[in-house]
Amino acid sequence: MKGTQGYFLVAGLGLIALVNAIVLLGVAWNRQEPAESRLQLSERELLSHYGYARKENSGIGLRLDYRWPSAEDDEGFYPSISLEKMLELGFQQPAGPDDDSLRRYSRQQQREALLVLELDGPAYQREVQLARDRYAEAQRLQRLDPGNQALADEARQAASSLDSRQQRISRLMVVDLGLDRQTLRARYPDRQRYAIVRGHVRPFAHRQWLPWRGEGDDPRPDEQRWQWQLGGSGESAGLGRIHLPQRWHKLFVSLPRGGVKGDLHGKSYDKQFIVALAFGRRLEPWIVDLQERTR
Amino acid sequence: MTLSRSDAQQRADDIGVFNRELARLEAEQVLSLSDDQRARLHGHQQQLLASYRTAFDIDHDNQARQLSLGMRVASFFGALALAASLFFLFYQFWGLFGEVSQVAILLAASLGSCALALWLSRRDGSGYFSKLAALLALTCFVLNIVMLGQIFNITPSDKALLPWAAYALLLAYACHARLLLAAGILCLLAFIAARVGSWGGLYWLDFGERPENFFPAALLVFAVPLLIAQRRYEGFAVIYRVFALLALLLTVLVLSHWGEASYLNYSPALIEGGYQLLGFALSAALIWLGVRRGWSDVVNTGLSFLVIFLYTKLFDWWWALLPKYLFFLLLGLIAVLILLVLRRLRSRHGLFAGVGQ
Repeated sequence: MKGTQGYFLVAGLGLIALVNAIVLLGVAWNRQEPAESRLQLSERELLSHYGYARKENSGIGLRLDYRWPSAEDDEGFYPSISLEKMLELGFQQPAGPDDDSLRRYSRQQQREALLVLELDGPAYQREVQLARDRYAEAQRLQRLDPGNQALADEARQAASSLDSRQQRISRLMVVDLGLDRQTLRARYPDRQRYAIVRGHVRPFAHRQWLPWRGEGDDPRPDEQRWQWQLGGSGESAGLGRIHLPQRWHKLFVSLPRGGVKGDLHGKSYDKQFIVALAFGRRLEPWIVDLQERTR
Repeated sequence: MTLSRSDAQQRADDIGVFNRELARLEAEQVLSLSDDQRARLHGHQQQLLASYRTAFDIDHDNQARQLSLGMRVASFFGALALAASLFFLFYQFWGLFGEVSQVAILLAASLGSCALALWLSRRDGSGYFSKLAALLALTCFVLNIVMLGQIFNITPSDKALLPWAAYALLLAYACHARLLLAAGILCLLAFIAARVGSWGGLYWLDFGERPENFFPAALLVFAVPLLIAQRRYEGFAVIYRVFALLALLLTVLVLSHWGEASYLNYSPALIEGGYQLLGFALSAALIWLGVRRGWSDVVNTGLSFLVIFLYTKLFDWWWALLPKYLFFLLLGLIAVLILLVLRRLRSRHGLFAGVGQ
């Protein structure tokens, strides 16, 4: 029996050592230079939960925040990923426009995919321009009927939305998806602007009512009043908490809070910083540098 | 043959039963031992019991047995509390250390707790402290891998389940700890189910959304005690079988009410009906198998699920249709019918007849 215990001890210690070695070698391989991509991000893209649950957890983590492009009209539900892209990712097309086929489409399971994130590029500029156009339209309508409270509220909301997009929310946009990293990198070669990250994608099917814009009662039969929105939605994997190494904790804690918040007048409680975030060969991120943001 | 703690306890219990029956036979004047025979018998028994107490810390009477149960409960809750404490302790202070120190602390905690658990298992005849230490060792290893993932932002993966399962099984066999065996089997079931899902191109964390992923895992776990004898490890074969059957029958139960989750490309109503039939057939087959092989755990699991399948179906059919008193009366009558069938089975086959492990 004692001999058996000796084998168990060797096997247990060996297993622990082996698993730790595999994990650490994987980390070293991921972080070998050159990095797959390297982005300069601010508190707009990296949300800190510093202070929350700090009493029980002395570690500091930052969450990578990215956004999906908005639709032109921004009304109702719409899929983040088009049906064509979903088919490219390996999802099966619905056999027909009937409810049963569409139900089968939407119950396909999530699949792994690669997401391309663009930092402060054309996709972000388009978002700002859309908000600017909506604000201009809201202002025009308000001028036509200055006493209308609803139009005044809409104009204020549009102004707040524009300000938020220009000043506060993330400039990191999902611009493409795929299964092959090399193909995506060839399409987006700038490693300072485009990061490829791991994610997963789920089909999306939503039945949406089409508003009647004609005169009088809606004469359309039922099947023409509803339209199926088909596509997908996705999210990244493992970017919900990026570890901030202890050597930057002191600087991070001392960072000033402030800046203009999205609601035009409120002061922000976000700490202001610039982070260099690298993504390695396994597309896993790590923080390379942290500095105070002075402007 | 090497004597285990359970063998020693069984022998001690048999001695107690033998002495009580001997006293009865003497009182009824059926049997009478001479003083010399009595002295030799008593001396032999005391020598055996003393050696068992020294080697295995066995329960020598009913009072000791009740205290042992209390110690087992205290050991279980103590182990859970210490594991939780260890988890929170690390979270409380890990931010104060650099990455190298963090890795060194995690590795040292894993290696140290493993050595401690195995050292204690040699010295602790009762097993209470070594099992507690073994659960702590597993917690340290799980924490080790989880924290490495957080420190280095490693993408979450189902692959972590495999070393956890291997380590839990290793500690379970080293310390004869059934709780760790159950933990190891659960990790193994989750790993195989996630792998089966991934081979079909699915995101691994979604393995629960297609319950059929658990079928291969359940069959594999059920086969383990058939392929590898567990005679030296009391209760291990039962744990394997019960967890495998839970994975199998719970999956069937879920699918019998959630046809949408199936891989099968038929209408949900048809899938649910099919799985309801399969649930009845499987439960009945398991009762038959359990009776045939003398596995009381398989009979009880099969019987429990047969009743669950039956009652859920009766609920679907009659709950809205019948007055409540009639509904519950029918349930009661069905329970009586099951009792009658089982009594008939027992009298015909002498259910289990003392076989099986």
